[in-house]
Amino acid sequence: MMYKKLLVVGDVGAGKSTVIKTLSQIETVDTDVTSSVDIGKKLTTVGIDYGRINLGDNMAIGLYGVPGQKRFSFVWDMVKENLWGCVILLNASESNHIETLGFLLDYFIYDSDTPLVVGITHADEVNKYDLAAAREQLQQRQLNAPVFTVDARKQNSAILLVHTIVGLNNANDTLAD
Amino acid sequence: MSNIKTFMWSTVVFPTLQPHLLKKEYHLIQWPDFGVMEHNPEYIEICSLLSKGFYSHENLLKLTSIKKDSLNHFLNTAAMQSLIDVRPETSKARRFTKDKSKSTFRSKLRNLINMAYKTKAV
Repeated sequence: MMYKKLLVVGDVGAGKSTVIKTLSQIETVDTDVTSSVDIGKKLTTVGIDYGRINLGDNMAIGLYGVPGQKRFSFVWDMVKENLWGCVILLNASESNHIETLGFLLDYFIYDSDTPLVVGITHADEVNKYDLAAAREQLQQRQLNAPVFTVDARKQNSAILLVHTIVGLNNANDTLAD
Repeated sequence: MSNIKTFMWSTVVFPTLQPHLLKKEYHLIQWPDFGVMEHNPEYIEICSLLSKGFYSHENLLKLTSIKKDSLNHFLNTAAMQSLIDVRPETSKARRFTKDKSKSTFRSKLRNLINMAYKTKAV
């Protein structure tokens, strides 16, 4: 069985569950509960979302969605090993989303070869949102990863994120030395 | 990003490689924001390779399914927007892996991605 693990981690309300539901070929398993504070939606994830892309012939990609808040770091430990790819989703309307990016990079991306994509959601809710601050976080860590403005509700965005992870994995596999 | 810059990623209007980009190797220093503009899906493959190191024009054509015109346009546009670093082509030949299990996995994924692009709801 060839089984790969794709992590989707990030801010509350950034669209992790939506992206996993869009990509998954099975009914997703989620741990959504009613939020006790106003986060702009009724439900939020408190554990792991799980979905799966089946490729046939005993090949599959497991999709793991986990919350990006530090208090859920016990969940991070369960999914961080042997990642095939990591998607960090950030909610631009959260004032501390760049700080969140920094600690998620430090926690999950200890190897610059780990395929990584950063998706910024809700950018349309911020006046003249600039990707520069997110790119700077990557540069500070010598990471040359893409930062895309995405809308988690759109299939195009989910395809872009996973296609980029595929492309980066192919690029890693292509290099012999 | 201005409209003209966005437009540049969705079409092929510079199919001839600019003279200063001939016989060079290229390395991506910043990804375009493909989240906000229509783009050729093959540009994802090209950016992925170029983000990992320097590649020649010939190697990029060998390693991807991109057409020469589209690759030229990509390189012209990326250079114009200062997204790539350029150095003279070296004679050192690169070696590439051919792992069969990875190839099968990769081709299945490529089929899935191609199908997703064909059926996506915009």
